[in-house]
Formats: sequence, C-alpha cells, structure tokens
Amino acid sequence: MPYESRGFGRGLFVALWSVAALGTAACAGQPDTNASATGAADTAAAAFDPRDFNGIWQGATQDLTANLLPGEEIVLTEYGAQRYRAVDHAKFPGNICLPYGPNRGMAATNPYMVVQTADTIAVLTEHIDYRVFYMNEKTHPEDILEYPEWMGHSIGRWEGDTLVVDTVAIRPESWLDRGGLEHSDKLHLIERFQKTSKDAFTWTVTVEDPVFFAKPFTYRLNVERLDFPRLIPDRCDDNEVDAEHMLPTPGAIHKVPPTMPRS
Amino acid sequence: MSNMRVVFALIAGTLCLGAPISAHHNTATVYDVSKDKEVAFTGTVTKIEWANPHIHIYVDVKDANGRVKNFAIEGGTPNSLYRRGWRKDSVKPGDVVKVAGAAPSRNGMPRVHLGSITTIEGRQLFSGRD
Repeated sequence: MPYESRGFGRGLFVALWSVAALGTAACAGQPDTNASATGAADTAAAAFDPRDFNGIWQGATQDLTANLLPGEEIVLTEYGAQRYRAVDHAKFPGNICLPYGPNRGMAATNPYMVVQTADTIAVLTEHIDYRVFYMNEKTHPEDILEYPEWMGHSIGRWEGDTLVVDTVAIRPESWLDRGGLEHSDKLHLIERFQKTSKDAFTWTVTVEDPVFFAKPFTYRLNVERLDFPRLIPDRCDDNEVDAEHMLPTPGAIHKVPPTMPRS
Repeated sequence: MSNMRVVFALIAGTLCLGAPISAHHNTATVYDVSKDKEVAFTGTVTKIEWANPHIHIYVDVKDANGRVKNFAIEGGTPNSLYRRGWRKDSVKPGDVVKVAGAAPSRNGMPRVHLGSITTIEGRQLFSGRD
C-alpha cells in the first residue's frame, strides 16, 4: 500500500503542475463554493476560506533563530555543537544546486505555489522542488526511513481549520536555514498552517532531531500571498558558475546563537 | 573616454543594500561583502547572461594605464528581477554604465557582486543584492 500511495502522489504531481500552469486565479477560486452573486459583502465573506491555501506564497528568512517563538531556544547536543562549530557556508548543498529541503525550501527568497485538492496538497517551489502532503494517509510508509527524500514524506490532517503536516525521512544533506543549522536523518517536522486572512497565513514549524538538538524547538513565519500570477522556475543548474570561486567561509550566522550542551 | 577608467573607491553608505542575499548560496562565499571593500567603476557592457541562478553582466573596464579588463558582474535571480520590473534588455551591449556598491571577489578574479548599475545618462537599472 505505501508504495502505491507514493506512486499515486507522483502521478498527481504531474497533473498538478498542469493545473498550476493554468494560473493561480483558477486555483484561488476552486474551494469557493458558497459565493453568492447577491452582494459584495457576501462575496467578500466567502472569499476568505480558512482551509484554502491555493495560490502563490512567500515567507522568507535566512535565519530560523530570528523566528523562534517566545520562550523557545535551540539547544544543541554534543554532536550538534561539534557540527555547528564546523559550519562552512562554502559547503552549503545549494551551492551546487542540490535541493533545499523542506525548511529552507519554504523560507527561500523564491516563492512557492500551493495546489490543493481534498486528498492531496502539493507545494511547488521555484527552485524546482516539490512537497506532497498526503491527506488520507494516517501513517508514514513503514520503510520510508530507508528511502529518505530531499523534501521528506509528509502526511497531513486538519485540526479545525489548521492544516497540520507531519514529515519524516528528510535527507540529512539539506540545511534547516541559510545561517548554518544542519540536521540528521532523524529530523521530524510538525508544521501548522493557519490562515490569518485571505492573503496570509502563519507557518509554525516544530523541529525534532535528537541527534542535533537536545529538545524540540518551534519557529514561525508569516507568509503572504504574492501579487504575481505565475511561478518563474529558478533552475539553478542552468548557469551555476559560483561554486568554482568559493572559498571557505566558516561560522554559522544566527541572531540568537544556539545554546551549547549543558555538561 | 575619461570616465571609462577604473575608479575603485570606497563608497559612502548611500546605498541601502541590506544583508547580502542570493537565491542559492551565501554571497560571502565568493565575494568580500565588507562595506569598506565595496568598489565602483565605469565600463561598457559587452554581454548579458539572463540565466538562472543569477544574471551576469559583463563589462569592459579600462584602468589608469589604458588596459581593458572584462569584469563579470553577478546580480540577482532572473525571476526576482523580472518581478521587480527588469527585463533582459534593460541593459544592452554597448551601454556605458556606472557600477557602485559592488562586492569584489575574494579570489582576485575579475568578478563583482552587483550593488547598483546606472547608465551614463543617470538611469538606475539594477540595485540591491537578491
């Protein structure tokens, strides 16, 4: 069953790209089935659907520590601290056009498109990566940790009007942010997407990774609808010429330095 | 043309560049982004590469001894520049441009990271690092 589920998702992704090519205007109107033609007030009220995330969105940060929720802190394990002290920006996987991973991918300077059906929610990034939230799956595939993917495997559910997404099996090469937070293959994300208006939502991410972090931490980005009708793919491999000029650039860059191990 | 001479100089902080931003890598891995290392020069555009992940504008720059060197100016991502209104013909081969607030390469190659480009007539074409 798990295998068929993933295969279905990939096929659906191709179809969703086709939908995406039709433009976001059509997507934005999709769930709006209660709209009334009788008055502007009714139309305006119907325009805000707290469960409609279709559209093109952007909420960027270079530094997750700048977005920690109040009271949250990042506490490194001994291994996490060792890796943190050794961070070299010249080794960021994106330098050679590798995928960003879910955290960085949805906090980059490039926007992403959400294409939503009742069963599946797809996130298409301009960096030409994608995520699929499987809304009808209750658990991850049993063997998924043996087959990690750049964006991981995600299952979604609704808690009221909040979209909750659980993601595992994320390849350990990606970074959590541009500042230099890395992670292991034990990374587990719990994301909460909550609409705050027709054109905005909060993306709240709880990060668990016992290899790198002594305890979970949670950060939040405010995400806004992009006032532009289409994605413009940023295929990094087209003309990447910087990697050959890079020099070692040590030192993570964070507004709130993580706490070192308490020993 | 006198204004074709390289005029590497410190730039006063009149350009609001913010933190170096680039789509897929930290700008500081290639360029010295220290404010006091910013350079300025005037030159003639020889080629435009409107390509992912970052655009490049190539400029012939003449030094004080009359020697010409071709500099690569790296800019932002085509998609973000397009959304901000710039097009691939916003600057063309043959245009004389003034480059300011640019970050020089760390390895000594004739490459800089774009601060701003202004035509000889005073029209600003590109600005900011993103």
